[in-house]
Order: sequence, then structure tokens, then C-alpha cells
Amino acid sequence: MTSCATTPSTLPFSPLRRVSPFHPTRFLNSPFPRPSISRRGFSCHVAVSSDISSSVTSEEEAEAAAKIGKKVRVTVPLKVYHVMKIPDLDLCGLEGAIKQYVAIWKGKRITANLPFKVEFLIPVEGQDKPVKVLAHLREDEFEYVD
Amino acid sequence: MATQATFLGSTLLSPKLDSSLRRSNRLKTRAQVDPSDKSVEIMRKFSEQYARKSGTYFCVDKGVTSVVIKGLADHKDSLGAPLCPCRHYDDKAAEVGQGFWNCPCVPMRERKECHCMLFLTPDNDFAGQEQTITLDEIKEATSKL
Repeated sequence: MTSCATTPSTLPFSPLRRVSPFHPTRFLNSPFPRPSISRRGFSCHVAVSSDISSSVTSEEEAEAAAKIGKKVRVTVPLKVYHVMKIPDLDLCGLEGAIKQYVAIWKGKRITANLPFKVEFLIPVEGQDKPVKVLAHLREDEFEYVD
Repeated sequence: MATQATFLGSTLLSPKLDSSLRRSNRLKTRAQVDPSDKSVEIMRKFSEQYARKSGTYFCVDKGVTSVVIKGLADHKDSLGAPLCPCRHYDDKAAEVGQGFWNCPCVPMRERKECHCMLFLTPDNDFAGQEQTITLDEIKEATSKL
């Protein structure tokens, strides 16, 4: 019989349970007919290993790699606040190039919801060189520029 | 064979012994160990400082702020970095290594979007007026959990 060892990976403060749902004594005081439990007890197989779900296929990696370097234009109003030289920057309509696909890291899948890291070169008044801005975008926030 | 014996044994238990069994099971399914006070203090100070720096405010309900700070402290203790406590991850170690969700996460840094409701922009309906929270407030709010 496999022991059910599920490690919660959501919020760390799960509510307390009175009795484990997998313990046979749960059925002792139930008014309903007991379910027929096999004499061997319960067996539950839980996918504990994270390797299977988080490793990426070579196809996905190739797909991601193909997008790097492509020119894109932002199609939605998007304010960013992390650029020191331009405090309140709206990227809508600006063009840049995809620098990285961050949802794949060392062959593993990352749950980043803004996976495209795009580099913009934005001219600033009083400066010869344009300012380099890196921003993370979703797929539906930009379009490819030919 | 051992499991079979245990199973059969438990069905023949008297109600008294059975209830004590259930009590011990209750203890076994308790929530995990609290984060260390040091980590909570570190994340509390970080939260205050980052709220000031980013011009954001804590939630009107400080219980929300407290739970998030505790969650950050917990991840800092267990993973070495304060991974966002309000998300589900397949591989926490990889997430820490890559850094997208290390607090302050990328959406917060770039767009001032904190879905944990730890850092709220002034226009947010739930934003309070404060950028500070004491350790006592955190302990009191999270003691009821």
C-alpha cells in the first residue's frame, strides 16, 4: 500500500482537518452503509515528483528559442514604473525586440505569467544615447513586426 | 500484511480508544511549523521599506498584510528566498533560481501589480493609509489561524 504523502504547495496555512480522509476510522460512525473497502486498505498514488510536470520538451524549447530576436510592437496601454530615467512610461505603440523567454529556465517550466522579456530603445530628451528598457510582456500585449 | 492487521485492528477498537486515535490524527494533520521570528521581522521591515519606496499602501485589513508577510517569511526560511506565497508552483527551487516570483515580483516591480494585496496603489479600493505594520499586529492577526 502506498502512503499518501501530499505536500501542499499552495498557501502555507491550510485549514486543520479533524481526521485524515484516508484513515479507515472515518467510516466507523457514519450513518450510511460503509463503502466496501478492500482488505488491503487504501492505496492512493499521488504525483509527488515535480520532475515530470516541470521539465520542458525540446520542442517547446526550440519554439521559445525561435521567438528570440523577433521585432515586436506593444498593442495595449501599458505603464511601467521601473525605469529610473523615465518615471511613468507608457509602452503602447513602442517597438522592441524579444530578448528572452523566461518561462523556460534550465530546461524547467516556470510559472511566469509575463514570459516575454522585450528590450526597447527609447530616446530621451537631453541625451544622445537612447535609454535601454527591459520589460516583461504577455503574448496578447504585443504583435510581431515584419 | 502489517497494514491489513492495522486496518482490521482499528475496526474492532472501542469508541473511547477510537476517539483518542482520532485526536492523535488531528495532531498529525496540523499545519506546518511557523516561520522564525527573525524572518518575519526581516520581511516586515522589507514590506514597510518597499511600500514607502514604491508609493504603495497596505490593505485596509491588516490581516491580509500579516498573512502575506508570514508567507514570505516562511518561504525565506524553507527555500532561501521570499517566493510569492499567493501562487502555486510545480518546482519551487526552479522558481527561486529564475526569480520572476521572488518578492518583489516582476509584475510588482514593473507594473505595481501585487495580487497578494500586500502593496496597493492609492487608487485601489482596498488600499489603506498606512505604510507601516508592527510585529504585534502581525502576531495578533495570524494567531487566529
